[in-house]
Amino acid sequence: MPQITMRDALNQALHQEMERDERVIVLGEDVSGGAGGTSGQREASGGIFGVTKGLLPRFGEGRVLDTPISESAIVGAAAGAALAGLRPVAEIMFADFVGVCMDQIYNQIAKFRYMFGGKSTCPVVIRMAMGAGMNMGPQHSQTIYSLLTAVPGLKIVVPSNAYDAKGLLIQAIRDDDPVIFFEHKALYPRKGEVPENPYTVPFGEADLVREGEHVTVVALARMVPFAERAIDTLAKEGITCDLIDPRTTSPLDEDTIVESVEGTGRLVVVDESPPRCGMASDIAAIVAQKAFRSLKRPIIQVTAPHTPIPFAPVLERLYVPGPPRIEAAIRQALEDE
Amino acid sequence: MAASISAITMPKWGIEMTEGTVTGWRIGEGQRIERGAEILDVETEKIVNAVEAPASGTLRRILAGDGETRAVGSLIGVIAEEHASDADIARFIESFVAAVVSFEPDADMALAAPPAGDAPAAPPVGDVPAAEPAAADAADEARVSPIARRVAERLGVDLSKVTGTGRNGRISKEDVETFAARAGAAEHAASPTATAAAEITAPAITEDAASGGAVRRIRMSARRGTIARRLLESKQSIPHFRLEMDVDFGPLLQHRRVLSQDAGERVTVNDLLLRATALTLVRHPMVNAQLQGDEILQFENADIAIAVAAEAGLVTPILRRANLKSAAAIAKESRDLIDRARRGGLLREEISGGSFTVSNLGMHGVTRFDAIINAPQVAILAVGAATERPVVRAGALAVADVVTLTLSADHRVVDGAVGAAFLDELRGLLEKPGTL
Amino acid sequence: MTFSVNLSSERLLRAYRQMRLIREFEERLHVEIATGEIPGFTHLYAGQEAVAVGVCEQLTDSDYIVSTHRGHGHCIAKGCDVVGMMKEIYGRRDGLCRGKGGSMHIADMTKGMLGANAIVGGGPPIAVGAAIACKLRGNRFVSVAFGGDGSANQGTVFEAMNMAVVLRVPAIFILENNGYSEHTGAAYAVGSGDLAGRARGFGMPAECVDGADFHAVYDAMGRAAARAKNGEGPSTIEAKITRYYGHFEGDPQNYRAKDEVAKLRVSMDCLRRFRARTEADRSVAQAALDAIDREAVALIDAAVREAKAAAPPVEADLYSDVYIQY
Repeated sequence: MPQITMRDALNQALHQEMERDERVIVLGEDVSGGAGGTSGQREASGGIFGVTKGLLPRFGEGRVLDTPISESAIVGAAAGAALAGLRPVAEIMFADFVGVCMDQIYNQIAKFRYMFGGKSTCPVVIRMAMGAGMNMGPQHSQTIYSLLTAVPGLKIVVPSNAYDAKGLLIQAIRDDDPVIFFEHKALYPRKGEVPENPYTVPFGEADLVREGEHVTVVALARMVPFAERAIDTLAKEGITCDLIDPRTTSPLDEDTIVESVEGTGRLVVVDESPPRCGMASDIAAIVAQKAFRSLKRPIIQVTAPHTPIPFAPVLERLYVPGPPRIEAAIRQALEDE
Repeated sequence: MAASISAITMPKWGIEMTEGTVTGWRIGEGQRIERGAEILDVETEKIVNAVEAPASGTLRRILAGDGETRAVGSLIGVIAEEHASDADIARFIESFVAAVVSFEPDADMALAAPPAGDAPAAPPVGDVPAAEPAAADAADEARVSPIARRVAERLGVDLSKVTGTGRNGRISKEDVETFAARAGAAEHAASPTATAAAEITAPAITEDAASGGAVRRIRMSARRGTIARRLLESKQSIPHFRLEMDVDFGPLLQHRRVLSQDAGERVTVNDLLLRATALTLVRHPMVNAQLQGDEILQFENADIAIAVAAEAGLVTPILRRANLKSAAAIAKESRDLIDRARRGGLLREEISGGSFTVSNLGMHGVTRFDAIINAPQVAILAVGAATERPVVRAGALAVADVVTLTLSADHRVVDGAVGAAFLDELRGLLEKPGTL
Repeated sequence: MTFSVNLSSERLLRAYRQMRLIREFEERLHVEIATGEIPGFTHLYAGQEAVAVGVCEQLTDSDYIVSTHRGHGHCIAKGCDVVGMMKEIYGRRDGLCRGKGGSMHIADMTKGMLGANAIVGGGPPIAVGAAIACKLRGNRFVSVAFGGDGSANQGTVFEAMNMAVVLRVPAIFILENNGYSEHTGAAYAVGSGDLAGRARGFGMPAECVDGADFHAVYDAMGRAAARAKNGEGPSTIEAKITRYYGHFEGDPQNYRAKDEVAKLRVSMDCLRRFRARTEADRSVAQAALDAIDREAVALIDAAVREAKAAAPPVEADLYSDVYIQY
């Protein structure tokens, strides 16, 4: 089976779905690039991260729309096109820009179906590049998915690898509910085995990335490969862990997490987001409520600090939880209190 | 023709207004007004404004005078056509229901009862077909939680036989464990020893520094886990109390010898004990019962569960309608049940339910013990070994074979006197076993 | 495209009926809201009827509109069920949105009414999206964004206008300049004082019309729709009009001169204007208009009675339709 990057896996998903269903359209800033330029070259970028490469030449300007820098209009247009029967995949270049178009996301697309009495369908996908670790500074590095997970009416997808990314994006496009799709930019080059044919990965089903007895570790996005490294190191000492990758935060596969903790009694949650009101505290609360009697010691949350993301590389390295911090947390989890 | 009567109510001006004060009626009772005319002034916290007449007619009643404060929506005046009678007006006022404008959570919000045969929401409009089903293997993947799959492998459970009660019908760990516990006593294709071995994970052996020797770590099997959980729950939640009674087993032992010869069937003391217990139970319905929630289920027949020590743990196959069976029949059936319990060949219906349990540790020499009630039953009888003991009969010392029976009962359902009466009658039957 | 001069008397009567229905609907709501029986916020359209009807009479069920918080007029003009609307405003289970949206969120996808939007300026981007869909299907249909002088200052409207021009989609922006955005006059809040001019600045044709004149609005809309269907892209129509009631019901309108509304009810009333015009050019019988007036009152009366008697939602309705499938 071919090994391709997460970026290329996402690109494949878009190509295959646009081929399969002519209602799928793509819109965003520079999804193709080069419009109105003087080089005469259309498709100058294929998306700033290359995820939408090759779509315009193949499907044309009617279905691949380069837009001005207008996030509200982009998301709003995606919403309106979806209400009118298309299946738009809109891109917000950096998840940080969600502030600019927040109304269209949490007041409009999240609420249409409910407030119109179940009479409208809005099958929109909003893709966003998120995450830190590449020195892009405070306003181009946030994770954001915790904020949107809290909004009823949205489905939130956070893949950690190429295989899941392709399957989840195809699922998102085929899903009739609004989906916000978070792609960690540092994971774009991460390679994995990806089947060439289209396939789906269901929402609300976690992946059990590693299996073990001693500690349950839950991680998202880039924290998954970091947790894998920490766990593989500890395995050499005979310490084994269940590593759970929820893949979607809404719906969240609570059962798998609870079932694992019922077995191990020890939980470490790893999230690149800041500590307040984030996925780490959300999952910790769920486990504390549903598996309280199974816990042998308090839950450990490994998160970024309650600060904006610093620019200087040495500071950013302190900000983002890495394998050593995760390893230390797992060791701590083994200590009884 | 019914006269038209209209209400003048304290108006709602703005979403926050809850009450208003009448500052001045501009017309008096009996005066004629046109719809839309300003007829009174009202003051609120924020504004002063005029109220317009909602209809044309005569102002028949003023119910809130100048300076009076009323809640929004309440009736402050009545307009009616000339020929409306005073009685009509009075009726109107009496039957008037003010609108609910309070934001308080306990305000009387009218929630309709769910209509019968509720139609599902209308399908979405437009050319949006249902999302395509996922690829076949992905769908299979999705039907079982990864932990459940692991548990199933360990317990040798065939997932295709398990019903899922998790999210969207997914099979959860609990579903697998429940299935395994029920089927654990039933016969599988795998040999009993293999099943038993599969239930115990390969123990981890580590060095224990404190004890200076090897420590075997054995993960509790699902079956053991279920037993553990049920016993803990029973012990923690049921108010057990105990009644002891010593029974002279001499007559019973004698009776047993006679019966065995006659019946040609090997009848044990335990079989006779079961029969005696069954006959006594149906005469004490409060002891022959289950407690479910706050309902006591009294059984017509005695379905007695027999505690059997199988290799994988305690099993309690049930001897149904024991009160209707002869000693010989009980002997045959209980021998079969105990046998299959030890081998792991019981059917699910043979281990579910029961109105009473008998646990006999006499064969191991235990003289007395108290058993934990097998919830949701309300009592259990613990039977000790028959030992030769000194007894006093008619003032003289003698030696008799005595068995100590201990009844553990749920004090929520079984009172002391009830339990005592049961034991007393049981002893009577055992000591005069002619009818057994 | 049809010009209003060429409209049959049937079509004219229909237009009048729509305007009268809206007027009666809103006037009746004004009375009913004061009783306290209608929960929440309501924003009445009375006075602006000719704009909604002038625009929507050029549209079919397959064209799209996105409306505002002051959306009852657009809703009725686009053909939504009046009784269903009334029930929705009363929060009843069989309201147009099952009681889940209320006055500010009335929608009917089957009529191409993509929702009243409670967020000022929230609608135009959505309308552009629907226009993208229209373009992909060959420009046979158009997408209309209603907005006010208030929304015209919202960044989302600028984005939507520019996006519509750049993507060259069949979107039509109707800016109903009723002189007030909430409690502040347009004279203060619209810096340039010229909404049509702003739209022109984004690169699209824009007209300014007398919003009380059904015929003028109808014709301006006809021109804009023709351009859109011809692939020429978006247009804007600024309609100068007034609203008789406050921003929301309960607003005492302290920002308006005491007799302003009374005067405008005479000088700027679109129903009076329509009567005067059709009497002068004899395009419809005045008796027919009288009949419509009576019919409208009766219809709205029946709608209110039905709404008051209708059942409220049940507990299960709280949880339904958050997702199609979770």
